[in-house]
Amino acid sequence: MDPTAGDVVFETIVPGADRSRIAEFSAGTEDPNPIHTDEAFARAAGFPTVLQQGPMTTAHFARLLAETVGPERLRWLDVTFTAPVYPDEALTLTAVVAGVRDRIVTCTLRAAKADGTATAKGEAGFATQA
Amino acid sequence: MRMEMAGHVYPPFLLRPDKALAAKFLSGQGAAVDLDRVPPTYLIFLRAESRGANLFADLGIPRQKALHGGQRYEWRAALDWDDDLDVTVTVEKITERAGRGGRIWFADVAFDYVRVADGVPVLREITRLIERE
Repeated sequence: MDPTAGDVVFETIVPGADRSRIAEFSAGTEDPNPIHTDEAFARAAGFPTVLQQGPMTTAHFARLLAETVGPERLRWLDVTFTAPVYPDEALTLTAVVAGVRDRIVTCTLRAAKADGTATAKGEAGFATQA
Repeated sequence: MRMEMAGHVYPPFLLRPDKALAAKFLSGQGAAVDLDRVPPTYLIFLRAESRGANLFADLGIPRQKALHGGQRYEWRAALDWDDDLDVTVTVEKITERAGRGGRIWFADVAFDYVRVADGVPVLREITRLIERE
């Protein structure tokens, strides 16, 4: 049965990434930006420590959607980063169905820290089951 | 921000997914390193930097003033590990706004990934870069 508005597609706690994992993700994305790996650089840029990459949150959303509905059903994903994420901060990622139209299920995405701070919001679309 | 870069289209560059990079991409996330498929957001604007589209330098965004506003992915066809892709980078628009701490510039940059073998578009990615004053 196809989902309806309000259905939870997933609600998942993603454990925090430590500095070595953040550096690994930079290597895997060919990201040379020292803001993710160099403490002094991050502080000079006005942050208390290095930043986790926004694209890591995007990757989590895409992976969780693919695991939940199947990768072949993914159509689009749009994520806006709203607050910095620092090392070792767990995030709760949620996707809730907003509606179904023209055989595409649209869902609303949210990422938040344990204290409730929203770090990303967005939308995704995936195909209804054939 | 170099406002005059709005509308600029880079010459296409060639890209092929790389399993060693994908393994780091997955382990960095804390995800299982399952390389049956190319991960859905493996293709990412950052790979352009060493291949001729150095956006931060070309747009004049100093690293310490840069933020990442967001990303959009539109998947159009399946992607395999042995697919060669032509990647075309387009600076779609640049806007300036007044923020609380000074001016802020937003650059939306589109990446169109086309399979070389048959000309099929496999992905459109849009990344939204921000420069703080």
